[in-house]
Amino acid sequence: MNELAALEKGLPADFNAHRASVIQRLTRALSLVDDLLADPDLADPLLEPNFFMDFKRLSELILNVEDSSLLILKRCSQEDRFLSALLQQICREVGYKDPVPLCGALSFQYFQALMGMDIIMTPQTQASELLALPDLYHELAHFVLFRCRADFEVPLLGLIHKFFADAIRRGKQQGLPKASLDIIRDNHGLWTGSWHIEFACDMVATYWCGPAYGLANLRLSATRGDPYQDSATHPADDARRVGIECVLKLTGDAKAAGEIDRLWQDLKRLSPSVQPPGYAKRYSTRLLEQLAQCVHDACTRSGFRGFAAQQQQKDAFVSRAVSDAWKAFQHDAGAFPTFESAAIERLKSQLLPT
Amino acid sequence: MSDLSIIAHDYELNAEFARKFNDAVLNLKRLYLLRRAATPDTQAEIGKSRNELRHMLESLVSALQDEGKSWTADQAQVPADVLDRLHKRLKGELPETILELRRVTESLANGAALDEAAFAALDRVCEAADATASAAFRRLRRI
Repeated sequence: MNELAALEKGLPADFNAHRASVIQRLTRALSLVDDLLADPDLADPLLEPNFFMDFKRLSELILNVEDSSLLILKRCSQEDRFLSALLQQICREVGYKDPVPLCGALSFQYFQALMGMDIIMTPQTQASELLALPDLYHELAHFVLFRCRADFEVPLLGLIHKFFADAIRRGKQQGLPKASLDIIRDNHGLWTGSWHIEFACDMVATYWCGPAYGLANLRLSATRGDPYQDSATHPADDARRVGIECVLKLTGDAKAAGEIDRLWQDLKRLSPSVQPPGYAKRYSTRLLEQLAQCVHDACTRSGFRGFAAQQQQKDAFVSRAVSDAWKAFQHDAGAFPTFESAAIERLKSQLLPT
Repeated sequence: MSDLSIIAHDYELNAEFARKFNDAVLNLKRLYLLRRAATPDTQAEIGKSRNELRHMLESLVSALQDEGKSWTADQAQVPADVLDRLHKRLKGELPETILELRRVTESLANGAALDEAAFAALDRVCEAADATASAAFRRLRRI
């Protein structure tokens, strides 16, 4: 608390607002600790385990504050100020109405969204590059999925559960062996575990950012190797590409979807990886189309502005800068560094006027 | 983009469920196990805890006995990690635990008092939710 209090001077308004909100949360936590210590039943064996659980949640909050909020507030570098201002502008452009997270170039693991702390961490160099900026939209989408669960995540889970329940029922009717039914159940678990979140964040980011998000995904995938590899937390890049293309088609960008698809075929041609057995069943295009429709509808109902609507807005200069950057890169990659430096300087002068 | 965003999402859901469930159980234990008299101040708190606990239990029971039934949005109130842990921890005791939790839900709905057996079942859920939140927190901090 003392360290947070000492930081007030010299912090810009958005950083100070974050500091004030953290102080408020810590004050509430301290008051809960005082209540806990003064509780006459604290040492009662029937209640002790429950008090201990309360204590753990409080200590987790304090450790999270130290690791994220205090870190970003103490540093508050020019890069962090720029990225936070950039994120604020993105939120205005897309119509994101919740408190805007603070943003810092402090990550050692690509982009990270810390929903509980209202913070997004980006790679160290993010303040000086544009091509990965669509990934910031993806991280912002994590906040939407978390804060608007009922509108976004819950309907998606409904679709996924129904899809796999139908698959199991059909499998049983067809007399599939137990091993095949177990594969369907495993896929079901992966989709409802974390994959639906990643697919949905890609889709919201595509709704906001348009074709640039698909291109940024292609660029990232090219650096990661196997486009068919997945993990418990992330679906395969190639399947994510399909999800992104589904949204592009729904937003009227079928031509861009086709172009991204063509580039992907190039990438796959160069890659030594082959589609593993069972891949097509694991990633049903039909299910991805249903999710895309659901996300698209939820974005519309939530009042978010899609890419096309932003392009028509005079003051949506970040959306335009990201889109222009990808066009410039595709047009002449050799000249891109000069274009990018100038574009970044323009953004800085618009967002952090001296 | 990184695993940490997903883990942070899981942690927040798990911690919120653990905290809400535990706080409600703690409040009700004071009244029904320690026999602390309810004051006008605590009366409203008790009513709120009973209500919250009943809603969480309805979702939990529905999610635990999911086999063969259609999924409902109500089940999304219970984090998937908590369900996994309960399934693993309870194994053979799952049917009896579901029965007991259903009995607690009915007691809460009918305004009846909760007994020791009810709190034993509720504590099992508290422990599983707490362990799930702690595990997600350790993954988040990579410790």
